[in-house]
Amino acid sequence: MREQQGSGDVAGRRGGVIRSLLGVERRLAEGDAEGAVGVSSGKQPATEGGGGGGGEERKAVVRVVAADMPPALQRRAFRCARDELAAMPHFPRRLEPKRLALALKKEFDAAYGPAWHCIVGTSFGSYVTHARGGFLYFSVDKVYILLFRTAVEP
Amino acid sequence: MDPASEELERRSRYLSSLIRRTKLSAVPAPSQPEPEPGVTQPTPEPEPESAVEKRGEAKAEPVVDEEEKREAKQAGDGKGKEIKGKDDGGPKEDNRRKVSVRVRAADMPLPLQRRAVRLAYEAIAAMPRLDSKRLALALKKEFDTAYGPAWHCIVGTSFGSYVTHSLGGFLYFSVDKAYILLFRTAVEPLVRPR
Repeated sequence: MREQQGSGDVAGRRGGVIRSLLGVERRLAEGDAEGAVGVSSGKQPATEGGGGGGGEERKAVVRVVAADMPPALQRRAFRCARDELAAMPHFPRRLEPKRLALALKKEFDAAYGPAWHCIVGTSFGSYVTHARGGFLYFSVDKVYILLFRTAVEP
Repeated sequence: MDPASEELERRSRYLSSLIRRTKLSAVPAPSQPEPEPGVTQPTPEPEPESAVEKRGEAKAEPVVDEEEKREAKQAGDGKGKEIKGKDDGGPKEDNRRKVSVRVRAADMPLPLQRRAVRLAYEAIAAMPRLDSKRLALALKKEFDTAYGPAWHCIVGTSFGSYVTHSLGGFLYFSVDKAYILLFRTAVEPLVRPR
């Protein structure tokens, strides 16, 4: 299992806060989603292969659209997302974006501290402000997932 | 002439009886045509499309929780009721189609809600096609400028979310077929070094 690491941190204009813009507008093809427009644009497709668990017959394709996150956290997000997607009903296949968003947020809040936010869907655009090292926008199969962190006021 | 007179009287009595019988038989005859089939004309009234719905649900939350988790989900495209909605000064320049506005969930003062809805309404009216990124950018920029950082905006037709927002900084509404999630998070002071 190997994945290409995203580009380095781009120095934001506000010190620890980096603004980014992403959007997927009804493009469900496996091609390129619209690139990130903003300070933290690091569009590098990294296909993750290899079967971590032996249960899945068809391995889900994970593609990183934009990332500003350590590789370990990214891998954790991929694994969590894939596990949740695999647990959802397959026939007929139905996506439960709220459940997946909840699972990811809960896991990252518990593991790395608050506050994480997660958006899951097939057609949405976003514009958010995230903390340094806390931004990941990837797709699993045809579901796009935005996971980002914001600083918590002490 | 007794027999002739008697015969005449007998005949006269017979005729009277016959006439009386005819009258009796004629009485039910006019009663039958009396119950004429009255064809009533029910006027079907068309259902009035005057359902205007725009509500802001401001919940009273405990002050103990500084931050609260809120979730917004929209499953399926094109889901939602098409209800006529009026905005505060909603312009209808060339856009003759009726755009519905509906607040789904809110934890935000009303002036801010109205501002967000108005801005989104105007932006969508100005777009020939929904541009999610541009709308998200416009909303975030305006709110960051007007009410301070940090605001986040998600616009789309099919997404689910789970976020943590500040008190009084959450709004989830729909304009036409676009669902918009706007929320605020606390900002860490920039004094702290990296």
